[in-house]
Order: sequence, then C-alpha cells, then structure tokens
Amino acid sequence: MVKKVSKRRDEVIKNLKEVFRFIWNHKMGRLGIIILVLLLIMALFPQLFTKYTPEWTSNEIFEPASWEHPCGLDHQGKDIWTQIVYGTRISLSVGFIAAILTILVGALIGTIAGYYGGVLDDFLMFISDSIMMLPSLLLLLVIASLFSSIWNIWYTIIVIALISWPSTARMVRAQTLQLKHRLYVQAAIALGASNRRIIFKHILPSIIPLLFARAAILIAGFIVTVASLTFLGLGDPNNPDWGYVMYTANKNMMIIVMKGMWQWIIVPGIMISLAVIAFVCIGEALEDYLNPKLRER
Amino acid sequence: MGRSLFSYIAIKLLHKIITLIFVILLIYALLRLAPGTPFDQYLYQGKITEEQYERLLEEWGYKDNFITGAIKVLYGMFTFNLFKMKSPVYNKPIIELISVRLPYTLGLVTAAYFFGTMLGMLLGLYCAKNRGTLKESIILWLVLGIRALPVFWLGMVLLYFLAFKAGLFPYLTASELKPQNVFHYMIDWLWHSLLPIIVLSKIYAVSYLLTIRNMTTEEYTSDYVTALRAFGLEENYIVERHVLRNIMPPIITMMAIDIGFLFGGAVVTETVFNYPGMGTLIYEAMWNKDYPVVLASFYIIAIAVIVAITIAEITYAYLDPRIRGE
Repeated sequence: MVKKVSKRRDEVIKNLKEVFRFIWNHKMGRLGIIILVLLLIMALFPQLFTKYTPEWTSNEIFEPASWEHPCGLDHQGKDIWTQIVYGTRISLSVGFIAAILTILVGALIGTIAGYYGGVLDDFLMFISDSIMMLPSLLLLLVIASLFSSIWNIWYTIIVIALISWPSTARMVRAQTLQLKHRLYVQAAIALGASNRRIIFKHILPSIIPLLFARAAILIAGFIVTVASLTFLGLGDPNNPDWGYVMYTANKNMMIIVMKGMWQWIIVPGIMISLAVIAFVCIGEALEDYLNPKLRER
Repeated sequence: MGRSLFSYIAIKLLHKIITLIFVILLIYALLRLAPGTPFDQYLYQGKITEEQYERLLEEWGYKDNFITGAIKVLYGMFTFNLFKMKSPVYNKPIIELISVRLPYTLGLVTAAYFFGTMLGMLLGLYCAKNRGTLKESIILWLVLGIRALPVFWLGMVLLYFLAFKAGLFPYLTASELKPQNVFHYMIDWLWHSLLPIIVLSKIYAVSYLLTIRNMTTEEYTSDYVTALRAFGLEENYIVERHVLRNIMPPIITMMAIDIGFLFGGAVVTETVFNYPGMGTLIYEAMWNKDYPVVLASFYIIAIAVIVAITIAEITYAYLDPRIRGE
C-alpha cells in the first residue's frame, strides 16, 4: 500500500517535471514563468522592494516622484510604490482563489450535467445560458454596489465564482459527454461501479489537465476584473490592490496633471499587465502541451 | 424544410423569452435583497422626517411584498410599463433618462465595434497569410502586450497624455455638445468620442485578430486547401471563395454574442471618460439605489443580447442546415 502511494507520487512528480520542462522550453511559457516568479517574490517578500509599510504616512501630500519615493506620495501622504508592492499579494491571491473556486463549481456542474443528462442537464444548462447572457462585469458591478455597505474582498471572490462558472461547465460537460462513451467508462458502468466512483476515478482525472490551462487564463481575466471593480470604487480599502491605487489616482486626476505625477497612473497599470501576460503565457504553453496537434505547427 | 426552420426558430424564441424572464427576476431579487433605499440619505441629512420617509417608501413600492413586486415587474416587462415608471432619484420617467443616454452609448459602441472588428479581422487574415514569418511574430507579441492592458488604464493614460498634457482632445464630457448643424455635430461628436472609441475597440481588435488567425491557419493547413492549391488556383481566390466562407458562421455567432457584452465594457470606459451614456447612468443608479433605472437598463441590455443571439442563430441555421436537426 505504502509502496503504491509512493510510486504514484513519484509518477506525479515525474509528470510535473515534464510539464515544467515543456513550459520552460516554450517561448511564451518561459516568459510567463520568469514574470510570475518575480511577482511571487514581490508578493511573498514585499520588504525587499520597499523600506516603507503601507501604513507609513508623511506630512507631505501629493509629493511628485523622487528617488526616495519612486511613485510619489498620495492624498494621505502614503508612499504609492509601497502600496503597489503590497498590493501584489492581494491582486494575485484574489485572482487565484477566484479561479480555483470558479473551476471547482464549473467542473462539478459540468460533470453532473454531462454524466446524468436528461432534465437535470437541461436545467443546469438553462441556468448557465441565462447567466452567460448578461455581461458579467455589469452583473458584478450591480451586486457589489448594491451591497457596498457590507462589501469586502471575499464577497468579490465568491460572486466572481458564482457568475463565471458557465463557460467552464460547458467545456467540462462537452468533455464528459465524450468520455462517457469511451469503452473503459462503459466497461466500468457494466461492471456496476457507482456513479460517484466513475465520475471521480474515470472522468475527472482526464479533465483535470485541461482545467489547469483554463485556470491560468481565468486568473489573468480575474485580475483585470477585480482591478476594474476596485477602480470603480467598489474595492476593499482595508485590502488595497492595484486597482485601488488607480482609483485614488483617478479621483485626484487634476492634481496629478498639475504636478506631473504620471508614475501614479502608469506603474500600477504596468503591474496588472505583467501579471496578465504571465498567466496568459503560461496558459498558452499549457494548452500547447495538452494539444499535440497544435504543437506540430 | 421551411417548416423545420420555422419550428427551430419558434423553439429558440420561447427559450429566449423564458431566459429573459428568469434574468429580470434574478436582478429584481438581488435588488430586493440589497440593503438601503434612495431616501436614506435624505433621512440622515434630516431633510425629511421618519414619517415622510415611511410614506416615500410606501409610495415608491419599496414596501411591497416580494411576490407583488415581482408580478409588477413581470407586468411591466410585457407592457413596457417598466420604462414609464419614474425614477425616485431624478423624479422623471425612466424613458426620458434612457432616451437621452442611449444614443451616446449606441454611437460609442457601434463605432468601437466596427473599428475594432474590422482592424482585428484584417490583421488576423494578414497574420494567417504570413504565418511563420517575422512580421507575424512581431504582430503577435505586440498583441500579447496590448491584450494585457486594462481598459480603464488605457483610458487614463490617453486622457493624461493626449487630453491634459498635449491638449489634443477635450476632457469635458460629451454632453457639452452644442450642435449647429449635422456635419458640425458629427465632427464634434467624433472629437469628443475618439478616445473612448479607441479604448473600447481595443478589446475587439485583439480577440478578433487571434480568433481569425487561428481559424484561418487551421483552414490553410487542411487538406482541401492543399488540394485546391495543387489544382493551381490562385491564393486570393481560395481565401475568398473557400476559407472565408467556411469560417464565417462561427464568426457571426461570436459577433452577435459580443454585441451584448459591449455594454459591460462600456460602463468602465464611460466612467473613465465621464461619458454621458448608459454606462454612467447605470453606475449612478446603482450608487443611488435607484432600482427602477437599474431594472429598466438591464432589461434593455438583455433584450439587445437576446435579439443579437437570435439573429445569429437564425443566420447560422440558415447557413448550416445540419444544426437544425438537433
């Protein structure tokens, strides 16, 4: 038993190494990994990048950029670069957690719909069609602003997952329908395996790699979605992310123009773009890995 | 054949109407669950008494029970009473508010959509034709960079450098327009709307470029194109008569679905530029808890999406008889 587990673990590590090697040798994948590692260092050790803390305030406000303060000081006398550095952790983790939740909900609903079929499938797909029909950012905006008095970052994550699952569910459902007719699944059904066993042992394992590629793309999208939301003033001031820095910048646009503090606008946007590029690149590389037909081209 | 196309459309339409009802009721439920009313601030500021506050709530239907309210909304949907209702914040019929704002958004969105998709399609075809060359990889790496730029950031940067610093564009809202004649009005509108159009069209240009490129490349590498080439047909003829025709149906669907989502992108863009369209109307209405306006705006958006998707489905079914059989 123990031997079996360790053997399986070795196999997983071997596979992971292979995937990693493929991404590293992939032009876009390598770029993605390099940027992501840099961002992760910034998220985990913000002290390395700035000597101030987000709570630090100066008596000066709206001080233009200098060597001491690379992006200047904001309306409260806080160091803007420090806020950006500390915001990395929040932006990345919100995108990450939201993507994981979305994938979990999507995979669950997709396999159930695809596997059981019938009325249940129709009902779930009807709900998913209805949600897909609305612009998701607008829906998120409505929900966030209606509940703005009690809103915090966790609600953002949960609501994103609740309105973003349909596309993942559609993909998983299509895969499940295909897998259901494979011989080994039919054989398992004939042998009397329970539905739960078939879903978890035979169907989900074949879909999981696809979900990883999907997760990377979703994270990239969610980082921008959350930043847009906070930019529109629906952020959590206790957990300021990159979008929040741009929200305060937009509020003080006139003073920024007068004092020429363009770094306040430019730098947080570049951070968002870098994060998006990293995840999009890794996602593309993973997709190429999974789809050998594309690799030949 | 005529009958099957007809029944196909009828079933699809029924499905759409049920979806529409579901969506609007969902929004209504959310609105009812949310705390706060538009009159709260008057009460806090001491402009009205507790008694007047209660009476306002009664008057504007904030005290209806859930089912009665839902029935009112449903009734309003089908008789279009939803638009004749008054907004408690502006104390004006919604139709008046929307009829001022909608043209701005429609103009912005149409221009951005047209500009973005055309640019994306042309560049996508260009990439597919030059696949594997340096030109293509330069375009693709550029696209990768541009795709990652957030819409609101692009808006702020353009506003800062082109409007404030260089003074090339106005930073006042487009509602400052004072038309003298149609031509002057058009020029003025374009001058006020060019930056938002550029920002909004970016999304479409990028996604269409990538999709068209991938689909066309797939067609190019397929056997039938190789066969056509072997027959000695000209490259342009192959593209126009065969490749484009094969990739058109999915593109039509994609275009239709995108039309609805333009509104979502428009909210962010309009807020950055302070553009007086539906986006800013919805945004303000949400902050003011102006439920009738939110509901009516979502109704318009949902109808726009449904009409677009239905047209796409019908076109698709017409072009490709196979899917009608499903």
